[in-house]
Amino acid sequence: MIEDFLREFESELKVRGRARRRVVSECRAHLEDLVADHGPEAAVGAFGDPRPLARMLDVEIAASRAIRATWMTAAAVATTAVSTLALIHSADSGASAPPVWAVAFFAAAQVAATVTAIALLHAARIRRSPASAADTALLARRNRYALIAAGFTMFCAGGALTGNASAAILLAGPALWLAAMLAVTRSSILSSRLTTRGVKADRSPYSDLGELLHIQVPTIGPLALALLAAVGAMVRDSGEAGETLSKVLVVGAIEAGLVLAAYLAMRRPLGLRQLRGSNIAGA
Amino acid sequence: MYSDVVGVNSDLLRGHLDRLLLAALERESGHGYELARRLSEMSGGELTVPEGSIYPALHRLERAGFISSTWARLDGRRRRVYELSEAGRKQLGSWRMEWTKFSGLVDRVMGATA
Repeated sequence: MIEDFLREFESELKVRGRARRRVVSECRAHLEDLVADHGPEAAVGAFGDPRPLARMLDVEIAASRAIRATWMTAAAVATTAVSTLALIHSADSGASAPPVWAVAFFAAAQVAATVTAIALLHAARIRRSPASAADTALLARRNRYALIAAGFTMFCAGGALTGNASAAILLAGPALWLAAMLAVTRSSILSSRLTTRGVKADRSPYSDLGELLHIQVPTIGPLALALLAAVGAMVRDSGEAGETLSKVLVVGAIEAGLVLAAYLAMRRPLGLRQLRGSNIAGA
Repeated sequence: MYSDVVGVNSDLLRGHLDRLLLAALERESGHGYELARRLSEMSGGELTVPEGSIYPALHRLERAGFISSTWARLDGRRRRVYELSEAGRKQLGSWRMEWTKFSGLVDRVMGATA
């Protein structure tokens, strides 16, 4: 009877590897104790229905994997940034990147930093709350976008500039990037197995931040955000020698345009359609 | 004996399973079966959930850092043993205060309308 129960439980369980062996082993030991105390029929009745149990365990394990993958993603993005900076500082003197590479570099770097911050808030929030499959799938997607943007940032710098630097520093970023991407892919595969087709979660980073800090965080809309980014870019560039007002204004306009374009292109996959409040689809 | 829940609404109980498990781990560590027995004993047999459902809750508590777990060999068998962490002890204290306040409030309202 226990074997029948465990067979059904295992056939419903989507998680693979060590986590699977652990839960099956725990359930088997628990059932054996129940049988010893109450007999096989009462044991299976007391343990509950194997299908919802397998589903609940899959969702919890998927959430734990997605959170671990987020910490790895943050470390990989930071290390990739260090490798990219080392690459830039090692560039031959007088080398300058073509404008397209430079714009792509700055855009990808900002996307990587912003999406990593959104994913970190998301992970910190769901670490201590019940998870849903759609929510963990969203977290895995955010991690993947952050890693792709970080990888592209380094690619842009490497493609545009030539020079020599320490191989260890240059390779540390890509090595950690690869490890994080593997962890993200693993968590993404499990989450996608659990998510109902077409069900997507939306999650506001403002809401996550507010819940973490126990305060009301004002929501900044995409237009205001683009304006803030433009002002920031103009302030940064106006401090540099030889910059004219018109050049600074162009930089501000490019920055605002990039922020809006990035928001419009990524709001759906990154679950940012509803910035105000959390609207999490459970699955 | 093993109906879903005896005398207590099962949805209500599930919402509090994490808190009850922390309370069950407060005195000493234990594996899943011991925790299920402890919950039943501490409630005088009134609280019985489908016992498998404690495992997703234990995973959730471990993810939150409120408990930790290790494999141990007990009576010749390999068991996963759970232990309350310092963060879990603090969280339990906070949940206790919250519950005292909330249950007192519900008592007052329900008593007033009875």
